[in-house]
Amino acid sequence: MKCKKIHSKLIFFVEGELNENEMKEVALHLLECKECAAFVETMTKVLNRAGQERPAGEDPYFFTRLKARMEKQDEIAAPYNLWRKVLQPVFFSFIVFAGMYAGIYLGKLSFTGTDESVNDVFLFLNEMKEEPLENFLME
Amino acid sequence: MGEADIIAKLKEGDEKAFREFVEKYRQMVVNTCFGLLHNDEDAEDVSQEVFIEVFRSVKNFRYGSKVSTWLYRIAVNRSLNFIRNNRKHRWFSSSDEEVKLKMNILKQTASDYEGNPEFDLETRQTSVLLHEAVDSLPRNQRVAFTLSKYEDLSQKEIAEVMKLSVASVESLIHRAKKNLQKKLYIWYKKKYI
Repeated sequence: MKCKKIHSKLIFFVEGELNENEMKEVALHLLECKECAAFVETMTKVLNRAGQERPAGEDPYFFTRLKARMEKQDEIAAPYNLWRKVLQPVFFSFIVFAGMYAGIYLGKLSFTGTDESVNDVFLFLNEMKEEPLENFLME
Repeated sequence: MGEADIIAKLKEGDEKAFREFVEKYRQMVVNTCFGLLHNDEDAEDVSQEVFIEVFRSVKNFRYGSKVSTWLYRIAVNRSLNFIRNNRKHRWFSSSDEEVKLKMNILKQTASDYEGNPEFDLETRQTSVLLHEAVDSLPRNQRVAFTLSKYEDLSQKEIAEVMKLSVASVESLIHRAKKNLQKKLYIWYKKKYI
């Protein structure tokens, strides 16, 4: 029961964030309870590791590598910028105009026949003209 | 050269000022990135991106916040983007690749400490355990905890970096620690009980 009550405070005990009474209470419990004491020891090791893990020591070539990367990026970006700013609008404008011209040309091609020829094609669709309703009733 | 002078010169594109700026803040940026990424190579890669972004966007820097706060913010955002992109990549990669990736992490952790007499298996295990526990935290808790533990920032400074109130940061760190304890206890129970 005591363990359950103390357990939620253990990490704050390790970090020294409890008030004086609570710190004493937890410390006393740890003297009696081996299991909690062992867990606190493990947790302390893990949390201390965070403070020890600082990989950035002296590195005299960091700036050289950074500069090389920036130059490489600029090299890649230069032709891309030319494409994006100049060639891309020209290319898309060309496609739009070519599309418009092709549309007009195709439109002209499809209307080269006369209006009569169109009527010839669609004559049979008008059955009333071919077979008036009166004729049908007269039979 | 003072901070304001360096920024003024950076705005003019002065390369010498940029070198000085990088040398001054390199450790801070690399450590912050490492705290979130737990990998030396990734931390260096993202740190370079941070300084490139600084060089290209320094013209927009207003003196409203400290340079360090601005840098921390860029470093945190870049690191989180890196993690997100990596996750996306991992989503599409096969399980074999995932196993290879985990093996590489373990190998890298080992090679980081090779030749160091203080390093032993237990330290390596502790590092891996710490990284797994921190990575399992929700994003804001992870950032607040990392800035507090790896960079020793005060809650006020973390609040400025994260654009939150001090009370929110306090709550985030409190919850992060509780969650970490839970994770560590699960691992501890599996191993020892």
